[in-house]
Amino acid sequence: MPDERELMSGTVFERADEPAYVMDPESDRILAANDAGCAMLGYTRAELLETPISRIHPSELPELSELLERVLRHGRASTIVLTCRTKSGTFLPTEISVHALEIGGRTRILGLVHDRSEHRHPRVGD
Amino acid sequence: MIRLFGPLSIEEGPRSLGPRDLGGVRPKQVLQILLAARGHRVPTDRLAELLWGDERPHNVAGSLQTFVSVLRRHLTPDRQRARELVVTEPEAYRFATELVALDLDCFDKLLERSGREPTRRARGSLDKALGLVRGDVLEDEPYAAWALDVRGSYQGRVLGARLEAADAALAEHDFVAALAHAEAAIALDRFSERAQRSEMTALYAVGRTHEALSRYRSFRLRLDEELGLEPTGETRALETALIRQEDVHSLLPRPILRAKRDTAGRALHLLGRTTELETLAGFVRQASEGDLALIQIEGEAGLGKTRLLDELVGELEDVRVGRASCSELERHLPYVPLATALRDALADVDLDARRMPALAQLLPELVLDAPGPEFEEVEVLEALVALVAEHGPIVLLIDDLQWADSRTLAALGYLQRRGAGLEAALVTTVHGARGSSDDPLHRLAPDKLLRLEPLTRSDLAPLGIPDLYESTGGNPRFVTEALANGSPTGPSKTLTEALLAQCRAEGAWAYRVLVAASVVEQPFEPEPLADVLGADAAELTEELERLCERRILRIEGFGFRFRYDLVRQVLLGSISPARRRLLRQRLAERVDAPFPAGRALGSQAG
Repeated sequence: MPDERELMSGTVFERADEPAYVMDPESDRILAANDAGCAMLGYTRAELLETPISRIHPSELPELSELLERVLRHGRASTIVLTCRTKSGTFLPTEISVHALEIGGRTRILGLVHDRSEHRHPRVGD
Repeated sequence: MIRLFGPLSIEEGPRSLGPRDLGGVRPKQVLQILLAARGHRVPTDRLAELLWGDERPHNVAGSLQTFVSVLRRHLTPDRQRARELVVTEPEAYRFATELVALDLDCFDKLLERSGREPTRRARGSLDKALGLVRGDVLEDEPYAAWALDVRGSYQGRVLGARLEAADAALAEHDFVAALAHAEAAIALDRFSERAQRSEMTALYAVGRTHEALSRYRSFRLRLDEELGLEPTGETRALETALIRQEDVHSLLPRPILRAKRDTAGRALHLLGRTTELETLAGFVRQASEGDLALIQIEGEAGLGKTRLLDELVGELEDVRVGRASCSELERHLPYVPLATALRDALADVDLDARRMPALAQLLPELVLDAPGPEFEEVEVLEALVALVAEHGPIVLLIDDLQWADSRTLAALGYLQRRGAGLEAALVTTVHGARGSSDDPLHRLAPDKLLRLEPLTRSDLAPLGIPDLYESTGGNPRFVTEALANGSPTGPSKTLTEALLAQCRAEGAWAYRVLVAASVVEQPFEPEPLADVLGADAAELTEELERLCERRILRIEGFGFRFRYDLVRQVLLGSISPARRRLLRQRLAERVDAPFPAGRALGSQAG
C-alpha cells in the first residue's frame, strides 16, 4: 500500500487506470479522485470534490454504511451490488473495493471502482 | 414475499394485496417509502417531506398517524402483527423487513452471492435474481421524486446482473441465453461497451456474423453521433476478430470452476489449521452427500473457530450454505440462529408456506396474514426435516452455539436423529469446554468433534518473528493482534480491555487471585499466593483449578501458570506500581519464610 505522500502526489493514485477515490466517511466527502475516477462519474475534479458521497449513492445509504462498517472492522471490503450515479443521472453497476487507510492520523477510505457496464459518456473538461 | 419490482404486491398464502388494497394512495406510499428504507427508520419529518414536499398539511403528525393506522389495518387483520411490521419509533417509523421476504433483498443477496460462485452456480443465482425482476422498482409511482433514485439504482443493478449472466452463458457455450441477456442489457444501456461486445460475440457464436458486424456499425454510429466518441480498443479488436473469422472459442470468457473466497477481513493467510480444515471439509462433504451429521468445533476464544468456518465456506461447492451466530442477548428467542442460517441458505427459494404451514413457527416471515393454527413442536421439526430434504445438499454453519436457545438445540438434535438420507451437515462452534450435564448443549452429542488447540511453534515459524510463540502462546487472536501492532509483545487497548473484562467476568475473588498470580514467576505454587491473599491454600487451589478449566491458567508440574503470557502481562500492567511493589514485597517475605517449594519472584514482575 502506498504511503500518504505517494498516494496524494499522484505517482500511484493519479496514474491508475481504474477509477480511484480517497474518501472521508465522517464528512461524507471525496477528498481526492484520479482522472479515471472523475471521468467515470462525469464530473470535473472540482465538482466531484464538492459532491457529497451520498449524492453518488443516493438510495444506497444503508448498504454504504454496512460496507463502511466492514472496511473499518476488517481493513478492506468489496461488493458488486452498489451502483454509482453519474452527473448525468445514469446509475452504473460497479464492483467496489474499499480499503481503510491512516492518513495524517485520520481514517480515510480508498475506493477502487470498476464500472462493470463500461458505460460511455462524453468527456468532461477539468 | 413483498415485491417492489413492478407494481407493489404482497403475496402470502392465499392472500394477495396490490397497490389499491392498502387503504388509499398515501398509506401505500408510506409503505413503499418505509420498504425502500430497507428496515431503517424514516424520521417523520423526512416522511412528510417525501409525501408532501413544501405543501404540508396543517397537522402532519396526525395525518401520518392516520395513514399508518390505515396501512396497518389493511396489511393484516392481526393488530399485534401489524404493529410489529410497521414499527412506531420516537419521531420515526420503520418497516421490520427482517420479518418478511422482500424481493429487493433477495435480488441483492443472489447478485452478491453470484460474484463468489463458480460459473455454473453463478448462472443459477443470476437467473433467480433476474426472475424476480417483474418491471422497474416502484413502477406504480412513476412520477414520485422519492422513487427515482431507488428505481435508478436497481436499473443499474439489473444491468450488472444481465451483463454477468451474458458472460456466464457465453462461458458455458449457451449462446442463445447469452444473446437474450446481452440484448436486455443493451435495452437498459445503449452506451455499454460490454453489453455490445457480449451481443456481438453471441451472434457470431451462433453463426450470425453479418448481424454481429451490423450491430457493431450501428453502435459505432450511435457513439459518434450522440457522444462524439469511438468504440474502445477492446470492442474494435472484437470487430477485427469477427472479420478475420477467428475461432469463436478464443473470444469466449473462461468459466470459473471454483468458488472465490471472500478475502475481505483476512489480512493474514490462515496459519496452521491445514489438517483441521481438511478434516472438517471431509466430514462436511461426506455428510452432505449422504446422511446428515452434526459436527462441532470446540475451542477457547481466539483460537480461530470462526475463521475455520470462513475457510470452510471457500472449500464448499455445489451445496447451499447458510450461516448464523448465536447471541447471548437473543437466547430467549426461539429458533433465531437456526432460522437465520436457513434464510441465508435458502435465500433464492420462494418458500411455500401452504405446503409446510408448520414452518411458519420457525420462519415467522411466512405469516403475514392472520396467524394460523398453533402447531405441535414435533410438526415444526418434521417440517424442518422436509425442508432440508427438499433443498439439500445443504450446510448450516452456526457459530457460538453455547448461546443458542433451547429450541434451536432441540431442533439440531432432532435433525441429527432424523438425518438418515438427508444430504446435509450442521457445523457448530462452541466456545470453551462443554458445559455441565444440565446444560442443554451437553445433551447434544456431535457425530464429529473437532477440538482446536493453540498454534504450534512450527505453525508460527514462517512469520519469522522472534518470541512470537512465547508472547502469544500460539493463540491466533493474540498472534493477529501482535502482527497488526507490529510488535509481538504490546497488545492494543481494545485487546487489553477485552482480556481484563474476561478476567473480571470470573468474579471478584478470581480476579484478585489472577492479579496476584501475575506478579509471581511462572509456574507458581498455590501456598505463597494463599498466604499473600490471606486465603486457605486448599480453597485457593480449587479456585486455581477452576481457572484452569476456564482456560486462563494451566497446570504445570505441581504448580500453575498462565495459559497465555499475554494475559499475565495485561493483568500485570493493569495494577499500580505501588500495588505491584506491595505484592512483590509480601511474596518475597513469604518466599524467605520456611515453606516447601516456595518460588522466587518473577524477574519480569514489575
